[in-house]
Amino acid sequence: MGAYVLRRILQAIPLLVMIGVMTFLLIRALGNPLEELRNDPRVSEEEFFRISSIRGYNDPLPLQFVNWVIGDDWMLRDIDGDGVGDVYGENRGIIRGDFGESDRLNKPAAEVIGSKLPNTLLLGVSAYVVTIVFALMLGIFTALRQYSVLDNIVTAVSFVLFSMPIFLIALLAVYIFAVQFRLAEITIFGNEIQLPYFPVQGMQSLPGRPNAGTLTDRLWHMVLPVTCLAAISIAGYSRYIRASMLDVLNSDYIRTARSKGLPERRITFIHALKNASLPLVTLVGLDLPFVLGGAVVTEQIFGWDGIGLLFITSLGTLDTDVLVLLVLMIALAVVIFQLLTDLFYAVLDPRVRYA
Amino acid sequence: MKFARLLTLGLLFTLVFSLGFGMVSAQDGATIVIGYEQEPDLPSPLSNSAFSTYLTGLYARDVWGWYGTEREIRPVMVAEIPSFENGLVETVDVEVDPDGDGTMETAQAPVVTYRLREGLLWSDGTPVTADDCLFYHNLMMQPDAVDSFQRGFYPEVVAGAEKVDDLTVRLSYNRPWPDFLNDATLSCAFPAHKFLGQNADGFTMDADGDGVFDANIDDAPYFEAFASSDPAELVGYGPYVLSEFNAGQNAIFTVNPNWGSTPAITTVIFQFILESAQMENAMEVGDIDLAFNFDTVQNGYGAMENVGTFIVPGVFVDAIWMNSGPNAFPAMQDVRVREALVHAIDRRGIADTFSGEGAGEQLTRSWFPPQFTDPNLGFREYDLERARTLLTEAGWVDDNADEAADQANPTPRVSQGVEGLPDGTPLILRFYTSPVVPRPDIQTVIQAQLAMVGVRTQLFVVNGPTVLFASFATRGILNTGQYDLAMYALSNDPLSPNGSPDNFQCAGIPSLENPEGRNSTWFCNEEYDRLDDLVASTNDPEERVTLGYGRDPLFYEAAVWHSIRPRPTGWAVRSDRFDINTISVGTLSGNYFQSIETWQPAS
Amino acid sequence: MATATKNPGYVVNLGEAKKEADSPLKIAVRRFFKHRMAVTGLFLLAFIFLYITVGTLFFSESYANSPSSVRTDYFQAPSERFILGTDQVGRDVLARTIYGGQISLMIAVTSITIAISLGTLIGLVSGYTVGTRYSWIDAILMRIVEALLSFPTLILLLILSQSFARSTATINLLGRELSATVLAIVAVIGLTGWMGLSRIVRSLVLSLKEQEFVVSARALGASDIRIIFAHILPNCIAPIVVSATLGIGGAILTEAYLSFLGFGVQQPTATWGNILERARDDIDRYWWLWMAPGFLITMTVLAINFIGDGLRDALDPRSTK
Repeated sequence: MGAYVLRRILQAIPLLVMIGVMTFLLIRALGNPLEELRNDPRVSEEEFFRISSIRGYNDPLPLQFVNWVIGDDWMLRDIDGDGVGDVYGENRGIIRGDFGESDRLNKPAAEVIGSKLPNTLLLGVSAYVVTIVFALMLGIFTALRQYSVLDNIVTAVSFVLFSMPIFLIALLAVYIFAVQFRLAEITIFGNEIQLPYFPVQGMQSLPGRPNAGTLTDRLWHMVLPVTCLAAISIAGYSRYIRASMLDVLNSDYIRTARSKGLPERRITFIHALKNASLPLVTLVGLDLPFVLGGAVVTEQIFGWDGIGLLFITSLGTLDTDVLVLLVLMIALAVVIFQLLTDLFYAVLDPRVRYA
Repeated sequence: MKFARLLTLGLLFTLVFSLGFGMVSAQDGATIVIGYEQEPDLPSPLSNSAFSTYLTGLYARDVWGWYGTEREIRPVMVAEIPSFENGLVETVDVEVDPDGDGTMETAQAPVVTYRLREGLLWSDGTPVTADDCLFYHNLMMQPDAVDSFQRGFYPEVVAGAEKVDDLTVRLSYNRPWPDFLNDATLSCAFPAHKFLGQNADGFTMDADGDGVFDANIDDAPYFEAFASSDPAELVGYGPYVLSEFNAGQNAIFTVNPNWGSTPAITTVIFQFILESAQMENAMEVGDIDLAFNFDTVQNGYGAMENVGTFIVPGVFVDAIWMNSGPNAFPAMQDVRVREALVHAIDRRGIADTFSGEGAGEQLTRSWFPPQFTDPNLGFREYDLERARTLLTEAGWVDDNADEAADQANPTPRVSQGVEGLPDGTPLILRFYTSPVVPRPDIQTVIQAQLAMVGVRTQLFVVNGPTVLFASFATRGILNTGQYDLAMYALSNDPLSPNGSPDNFQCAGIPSLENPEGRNSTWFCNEEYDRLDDLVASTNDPEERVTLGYGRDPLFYEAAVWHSIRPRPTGWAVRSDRFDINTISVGTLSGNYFQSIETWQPAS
Repeated sequence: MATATKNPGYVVNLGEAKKEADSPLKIAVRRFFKHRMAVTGLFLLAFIFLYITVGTLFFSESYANSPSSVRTDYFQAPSERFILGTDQVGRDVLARTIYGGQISLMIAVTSITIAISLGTLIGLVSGYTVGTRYSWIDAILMRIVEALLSFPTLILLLILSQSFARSTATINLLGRELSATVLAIVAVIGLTGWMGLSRIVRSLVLSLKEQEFVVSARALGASDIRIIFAHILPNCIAPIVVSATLGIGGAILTEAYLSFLGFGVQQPTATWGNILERARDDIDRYWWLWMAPGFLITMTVLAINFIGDGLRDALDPRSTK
């Protein structure tokens, strides 16, 4: 087992290198943030050379990559254009934890991302939990009642949700739950009752309002964004669970269990679910790290101050260091989760050999 | 069956859950939530962009405030407004050289006496004194002491400041300076005790006390308060103090205990909601109590229950700004192309459509206030033929020469003999605006109109403060010159023909040395700069106007600014929570909330 | 209950066994048309195809793209004159959804063609070089695939479109003038959509090349190129067709996402995505602005997903239906 773990980790190294190269190339493809200085007549050629040199843009691309990884404080930079190195670089490189500064906010890139990450995780992980709970319920139920009316309805709704852009779902949700609910008044036993409506903006009620910032208030603000995020995933996941449940329920050992006269409930939950949930673990392990990328669209619609919004703004102002760290962070999380999923699977499924 | 039951239970639970919380939106009348379509980077008094001025107005009142539609001035920190009549303004003879040709003339320069009201306290309880005013003066006069603050004309035109007693300062100018009330004016809004002497937390601007600053105020730990979103350190003079600033969310103000009286509204929250539709929705569901600065033709506020609206004439005119700088598409550097673009846009039609019938007739011809605009100054009318001729002259030709034939869908123009460009380069311009309704819609209309003369545009709608208007240092689109056309509004000073050196003078062009510069069109004309300085320093009102008439055509000829739509300011208030009759607002961008302490909750 | 419903499937399987002489294609076609959802999808798609083609007989493209000069045409609710209403600048939503649909579908089909070609090619090369002295090619290609799969697709798409879309011109395609961002979007979706398929193809190649017919072809001296294209590729067609179909649905959604985030096809060229994007400012008052494009996008993607499902079942040799 130890050897297997070690081998899987070693296998991840070339992948990490490739991720590093691609991140670097991707961000460089966006363009040089110093470009607008080049045309500026008040920035002399010498000055431009100096700035480009300090930022490393005068180096050949492979060297830029090396310096980006290990830093450039080991090499003398030529800042006056005479071909002789003058000062040492100041960048310590990503492997020494120097992710650079946000040009836009003049703060370390790591700090900028760190301040938005909790918000994104809150939204993403909640949506994930909701997804799995509902997907399991629906998946198992529809597998047990295959081709029943409810199964057909769930199937149809899943297909429709799956075919909708998430912002259409979000806009519909806003339209129905925030706008129409508020306008609707229903009369019950002679009392006019206002339908509850959900907030569509921000992460909590404004300070100074009753309940502002309390747990329930935050939950209340999460309802719409989480629902929208979960809606699409539930559609996909429940189909997946239904399929793997059906696979298992039709297998020989379940038939054996039935013939032994085990109670149906026990068969479903102990024998079938346990085996059907293995592929689910894989799916979750592979999907979960992408939560870090933030729900770009959902965050935009609901004014959720997370990674997704940060990404869009940074892209607009070519805030390269923030973009690099963001992309790198997600890719790294994906690799780590892949590794964990594999190991987890190896532990759970005796059929996986460490060969 | 078990699952069906679970499912039903789950749904029921969710419903009950949400019902319970649906009720929490009932609000405390003493808190007002103001929806704010732009988000300032930092609400620092050092930042003088319009959107932070709204906010600083709450806690950093200055020596006087501008009020109402009549634009009358009311003293705030001073006991009375200095004037010749009350003897607080005198003049002295100074030698000046108005033409710069070496011949000196004698002129009358003002000496203005500021008398602070007695008993003024900063929000931390320290008295406001003449030293605070002098601190500001020293800051302005010593360029090395401040990087981030626009000093404008101040260091150039102010001769000196003199402390008369603890509450009185006398400021003298070195040239005629008619705008002493609103330009290069003394301010007392900086709490000197936070930067000088023992109180300054280990940091002091002037360690040896000789009046010469040996530190830069930008390095003061005081301003870290903003960045750390914990502005408790922030000291102001105004009815409120900033108690929380949550980037991306809101800015929260609470009552200043040391302000003379307690306002009826004890908490003011500016909630940053960047999109018009979300703002309307927030108003409708009661998340916010007040919305302002919205479009007065297309909006949903009028139809909302419990929401009252009113309109005040604004100082904003949405305009097309054209980049003539080195980072623009090369065609833009040719004034004929810029002129052609204006002639191709039906500006009067657009104004009529988006600001109401008749607005087109009132379109301003110049960025400066209409009463100071030369009546002979032209207006570039909608004229497609002229646009086509100008473009062809400039070397941007219709490549299949069938302009007349396919007017409905002409081919894009390409370069022919344009310097520095290979022949056949298509004319495609980047056109930016912010998401404030109806700007994106107008953008679409303009795109179609420009297409009629073979000019293609790529439309970008980007966040205003964080992307479009951000400074050169923070990589804003405008100030780094990464645009060709842009649509936005920049307010002028409606009381003066004075320009702003930041906006249109050569010195205002953003660059490495001038990272806070705001002249993003790269308009630069030395004669204009000279006349603009003269306008600013001429006493005789009529002569100023004449000088302005001489200056404005230079700006007009550069064709970098073109009004497209007057923008009165729309206001909407939750009338079930606030008494709309008490909501009086200023008309200048910086003083919208200058009387917020008199607003009352609904009874 | 579950066991009862399985019986018909069993019967069908027996029925198929009888017609052993039929070609696999015929069997697949027959299975496909027995698939109720797939047939529904086909009808839906046909309807949408009619909508975007026949519609052009009634409206010209410049009518769809030019703002109205009459102010009273702005924001008109559906009426006899404008069946689906007008948008913020008086353009007919009906005409725009017709022309927008053409562009949306065009983008989807072209970009998926690119993605499928790329994915198939890389999968074939990669799979075929495993175990040969060129296996380093496979190693590099698969690391690239894994690296690209580690980036969230939307973030990859946005970065690529930011670097592609800003410096492009207008193009003339079949006599229609389009914003060149159309090409950029096609390229971007094409370049980010091939990784999944290349893995599937690779694993298929790995198993196929050990099978007897390939081994004997090699023994008979067939060239590598011939083995790949004459023997292996035809056996990979089924998964390729399925993922192409599902990919088209995904690409329509992707285009809508890019538009929504401001990185999509430039105005005035309409796409379903950018019509929908412009509608969000006025969601409650101007419902007709998002209903039509929203409905069309959902219907089309739904139809394509149905067809894809049907194809998967029909082409899967293990399927019992």
